Amino acid sequence: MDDLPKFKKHKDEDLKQKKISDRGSMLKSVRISGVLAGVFLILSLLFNGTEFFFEGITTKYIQKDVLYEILDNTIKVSVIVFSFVFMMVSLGNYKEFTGKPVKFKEILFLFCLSIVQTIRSLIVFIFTLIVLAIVIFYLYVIQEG
Amino acid sequence: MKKKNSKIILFLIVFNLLFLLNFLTLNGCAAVESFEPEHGLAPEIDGEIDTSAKEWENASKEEINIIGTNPTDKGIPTSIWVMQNNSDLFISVQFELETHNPQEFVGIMISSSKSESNSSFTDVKIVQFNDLSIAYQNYRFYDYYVIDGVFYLDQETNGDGAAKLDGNKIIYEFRIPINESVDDKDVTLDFGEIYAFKIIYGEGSVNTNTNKKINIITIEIEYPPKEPTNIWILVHNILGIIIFMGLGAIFGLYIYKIVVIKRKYRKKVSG
Repeated sequence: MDDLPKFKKHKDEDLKQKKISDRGSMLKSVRISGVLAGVFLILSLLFNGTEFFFEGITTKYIQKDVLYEILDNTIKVSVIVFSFVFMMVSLGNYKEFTGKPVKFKEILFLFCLSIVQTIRSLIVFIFTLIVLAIVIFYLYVIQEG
Repeated sequence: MKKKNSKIILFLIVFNLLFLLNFLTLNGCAAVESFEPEHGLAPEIDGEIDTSAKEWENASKEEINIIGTNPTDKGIPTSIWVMQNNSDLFISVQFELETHNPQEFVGIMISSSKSESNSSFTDVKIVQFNDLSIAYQNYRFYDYYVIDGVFYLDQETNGDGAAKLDGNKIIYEFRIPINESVDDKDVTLDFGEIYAFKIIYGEGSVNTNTNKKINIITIEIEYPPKEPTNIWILVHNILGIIIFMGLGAIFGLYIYKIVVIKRKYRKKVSG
């Protein structure tokens, strides 16, 4: 009977250790996904915010062709979407770390930050809007699940 | 008094000589026309002027007389058309003759500057006929360089040329690259500079031709026209800068928050 409190103490210490480890990996995830979001934000600045935008990197340096134009727009949409996804993951973990849920207005804010990057092209705007809507819907379904 | 008069006369003679030197061109004749060509769509160099494709529409057009060395020579009245785009200078030489020599040629000698002395013309583009008749028009484009008045064939051809006889009228077309030379034997035409061009008509080989006729023109290579600033692009650029600066600031704030929370967490764990 004397062993029982000892066992409980061990269990508590294990749980505490596990909690510290979980929080540590959560913080690591916040950092890594935050850095990745930053990398894609810089790529988005290059593709969507600079003079490359007007001619497109592939159409300027490889070939002026419809296929390459599609590739150009795909790159532009992809960097915005990846930036949004990693930012979302980072923010989600950050909020979980601080013990608060991600609010809808915060998701909306991130969504607006992503959409505003498409200011220079209607095509990029439309496709980014569609893809982001799908991503948010998917995250909502996962959350509900 | 006599001494003073002779000094004045001597001064006037020297002054007059200096004044006349301004009009003297060494070993050559002065340019008859100066061109400042407009930019336009590149014509196809085929000896034909396709008006439906608006070829040579923006060309500067002048009439000159290509004359021989014989003072009694009446010369050939010739139309010179000059235009350019961002990469090439285009020159068309057009004239009518009652009978064309089967081995006639037209050449464009390019001076390395606006100097019109013979030694300055070192690069030559020539369209040479081997057999010229209405039925059979066999010609070739040659790129020569000149040393001491002798024409040598440049193995690396730079530019293009073509010709076509239609009735009595013949049209020669030349394309000379701007800001580009294949080797050091070519004259590199730079934007904003004036160059002298010698138009030569000849019969037979370029080195042993007879009935040679020439005249000189000058062409100023015009800079590409500046496109007017599109206000919509300007607005986009400014908005783009503001948006991405804002995004950068928000992201920086977020990274700062991560750093702060990481510090707090480390303190908590170590404490």
